[in-house]
Amino acid sequence: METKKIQIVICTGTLCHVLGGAELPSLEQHLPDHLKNQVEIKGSPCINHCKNTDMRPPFVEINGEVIEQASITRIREHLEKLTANDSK
Amino acid sequence: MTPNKNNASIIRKDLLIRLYRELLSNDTANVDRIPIIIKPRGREPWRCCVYKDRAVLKYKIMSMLGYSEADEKDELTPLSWYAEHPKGTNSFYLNLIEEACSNCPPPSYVVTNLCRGCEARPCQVNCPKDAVSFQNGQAVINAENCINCGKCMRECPYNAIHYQPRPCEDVCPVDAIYQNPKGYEEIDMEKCILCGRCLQSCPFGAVIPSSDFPLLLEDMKSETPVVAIVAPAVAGQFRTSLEKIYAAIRNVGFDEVYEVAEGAEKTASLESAELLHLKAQNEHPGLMSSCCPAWVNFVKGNKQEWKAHVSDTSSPMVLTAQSVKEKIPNAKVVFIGPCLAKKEEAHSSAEVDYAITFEELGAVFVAAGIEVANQEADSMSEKTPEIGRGFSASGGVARAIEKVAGQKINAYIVNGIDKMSIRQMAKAVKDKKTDFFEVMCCEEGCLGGSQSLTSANEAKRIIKN
Repeated sequence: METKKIQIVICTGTLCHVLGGAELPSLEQHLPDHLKNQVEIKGSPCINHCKNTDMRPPFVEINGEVIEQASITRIREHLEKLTANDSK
Repeated sequence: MTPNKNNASIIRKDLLIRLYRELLSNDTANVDRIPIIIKPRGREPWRCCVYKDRAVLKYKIMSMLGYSEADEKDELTPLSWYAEHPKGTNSFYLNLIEEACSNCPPPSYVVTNLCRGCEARPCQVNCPKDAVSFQNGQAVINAENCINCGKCMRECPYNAIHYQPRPCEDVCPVDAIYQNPKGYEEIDMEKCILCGRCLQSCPFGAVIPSSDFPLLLEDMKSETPVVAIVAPAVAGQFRTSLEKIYAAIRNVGFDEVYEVAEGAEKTASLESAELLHLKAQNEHPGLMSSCCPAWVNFVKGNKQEWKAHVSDTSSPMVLTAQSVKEKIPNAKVVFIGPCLAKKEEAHSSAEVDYAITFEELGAVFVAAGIEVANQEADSMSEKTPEIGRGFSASGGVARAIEKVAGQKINAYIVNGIDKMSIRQMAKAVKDKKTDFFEVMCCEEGCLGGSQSLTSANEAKRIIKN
C-alpha cells in the first residue's frame, strides 16, 4: 500500500533565516529514519506568513498547516503525532 | 556556542530589524513605538510586567544606538531622539544594561528538595572542607566553607545537588565581568577582549553591542563612496552563492564589495615570510598569529609576556582596507564579519571606518526587504582567493601559511580561547618546538563567531554544499 508522503515546506526567506530558522533547511539530517521516508521536504523563499504580525517566525508548513516559531524539535514532534495517527 | 536557539538572541535581532526599518524609512518617530508593539498591554511578560519589559527593550535599542542608561539625562527623552542622534561605537562596543541584569546570586552549589537525607551521605563524607551538614533530614551547604569544587553534586545518588551558575561570569575567559556593589554585573573594559560570550550566554539578554549601521546610513545618503569588505566566513551565513550575497550587500547601498579573503592572502604571505625569517634562527619561541582581534586583545590585557611573539603582520581586514583606500581614497570602508572585537580593531585602524556584524547585516537585509536568494548574481573578481577564504575556519591560517611557505611547518592550533586552552598553549610555548601558533578566540574560528547568523556546524554544512 502506498501512503501519501507528508508535505513539508520550510521558509528559506531572509527573515526566517535571521530570526531563528537558519538550521531548518537541514531538517532531513535531523530526522530519524522512520520519519525520513514519510516526508517530502521543500524549501521556499518567503511563504508570506511574516506579513501577519501576530505570528512569530520562523515558519514551516506541514501538510498545509502553519507551524510558527518552528524548530527541528517542534517539527519532529508534529511529525511523530501525524504518523502515529496514521498507523492507528 | 550556537546562536539563534534562544529568545534573547532572537529579540536582539528583531529589535535591530525594527530599528533599521524605521531608520531606512526616515521615520524615526515610529522608533518610540517599538517597545509597545513588542509588548502590548495584556501580552505575557518576560519579567514582572510588560512595563518593565518595555523599559528594558528601550534600553536595548538605546544601546544599539550607542547610549547607555548613564547617558539618559532625562527619562522623558524619547527613543526617537536617540535614533536621530546615533553615536554607534563612538561611545562603547558592549553595554551591560543594569535594568535588564537579573542580579544572579553568586555561583554556588545548592541542595534541592530532592535530597532524601540518606544514610550514606556521600556529599558530607566526600566534602574536602566539611561544608555539608544535615538539618531537618536534609543536606545543607555552608557557603562560608564551600569552595565550589562540585564534589557533593557528583557524589549524590539522587542528583539532589545543583550548580547554580552566573552564566556571564562562567563563560568569560578573562574574568572581565563581575558583580558590582549594587548587585549588577559590570564589564571591566580594560580586561574585556570582546569575545562576545557574555552576550550570548546571558539569559536576560542584558549585554548589547552598539551598532555603527545608523552612522553608516548617513554616509550612504551622501555622495561619499561606501565600500564593503566582507569576511570569508560570510560563505556560511546565507544558504546561497557568494555572488548573490554580494549582490544583496550592494543592494543595501554599498557602492562596491570586496572579499577580505584577498587581504588574507597578503597576510598569509607576509606572515610566512616573517616565520621563515624566524625559523632561520636556531631556537625560537614560535610566531603567533595576529588576525583574530579578540586574541590580540587577550595578549594585550592578559598575557603581556607574549606580546613580542605575536606577528607584526596586519590583519586581512586592514590589508584589504588599505588596498581599497589606494584605489578609492575618499571611500568609507566598512568591514562586515561575525566579530565584535573587529569593531574595536576598525575603530583603532586608520583604514577601516566601520565594522558591522553578520547579525546587523541580516537585520539590514530584512529591514530593507532584500531577499538574498532572489538576487541577480553579482560578478566577482576573476581570481578566486581560495587560500584566503580558508581563514574563516580553525586551522585555515596555519594551512595557508604552510602553503605559501612551501614547506612543512610545525603548527599549534588553539581552537577557542578558554582558561584550559591557554594553559596548554603556555606549555607549548615553553617547549619551543612550535613554529607557528594559530589562535582563534571562537571555537571553530570565525565560522563560530559570536555575531553569526548560523551555528558553526550549519555554516560548515552550507559551505560544503
